[in-house]
Amino acid sequence: LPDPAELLADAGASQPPSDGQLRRAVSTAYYAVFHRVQRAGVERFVGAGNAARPAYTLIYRGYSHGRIRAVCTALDAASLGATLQRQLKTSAVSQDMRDFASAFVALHANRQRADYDPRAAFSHSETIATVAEAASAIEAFDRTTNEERADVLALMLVAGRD
Amino acid sequence: MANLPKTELKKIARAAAGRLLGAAKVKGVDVIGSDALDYQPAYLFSFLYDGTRDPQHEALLRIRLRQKLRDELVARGDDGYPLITILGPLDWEKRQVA
Repeated sequence: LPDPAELLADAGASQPPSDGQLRRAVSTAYYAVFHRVQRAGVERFVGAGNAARPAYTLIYRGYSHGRIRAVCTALDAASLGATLQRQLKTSAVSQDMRDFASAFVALHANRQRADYDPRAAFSHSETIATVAEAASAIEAFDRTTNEERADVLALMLVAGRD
Repeated sequence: MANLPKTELKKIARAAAGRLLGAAKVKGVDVIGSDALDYQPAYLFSFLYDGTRDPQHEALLRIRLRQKLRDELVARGDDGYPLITILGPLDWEKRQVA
């Protein structure tokens, strides 16, 4: 994936970036986070050294936008719902995990707006902030403990039963 | 789940933004319904911010402001997910209004 920050910096180097360039940066920022989750999941459950195994690709592709988004929406709460509390055995996720989850939901929504909504307006400064939010989301995700990250990655992969 | 009136949403948003961004620097607040989330209702809150823009700092502020709004809305029975834009004076007039 191209680095969204570099993409935007290049676009604005000589003149204000076009609406299309801003939309592409917003979309790319989201995908950087999405692929970080996929990679974390496959490395956790298959192993980084097993990239040639079919399981690596299967698990990588097992992560869907909709499932991750749904989990992140549910995690972005001061107090988790009853089902999540039972599944994760906690009443709330860590602040870092909530920061990641909150950013993921917003980045996904912005990507939807950027890719499919012609009415959506993206300013240069707002787009720079969106790219920075994607970087913050990845940093927050990487700061979570291995145990919490594994639990959430499992939840994103398997719907489970209520 | 309730759908809070726009005046109440703006009041909640102004209070939350004032605490996180500084009341004197938040010059305007607007909110519209958004269909950016196809699985649940959402709001797009716009804030007119007249202060220094630092992307890294602003990224965290956006996250925390969104969480604060989400908690305030849930506490009032409104499940609309808050999306946020923080705009400078030049971009405020170009914001999405419907």
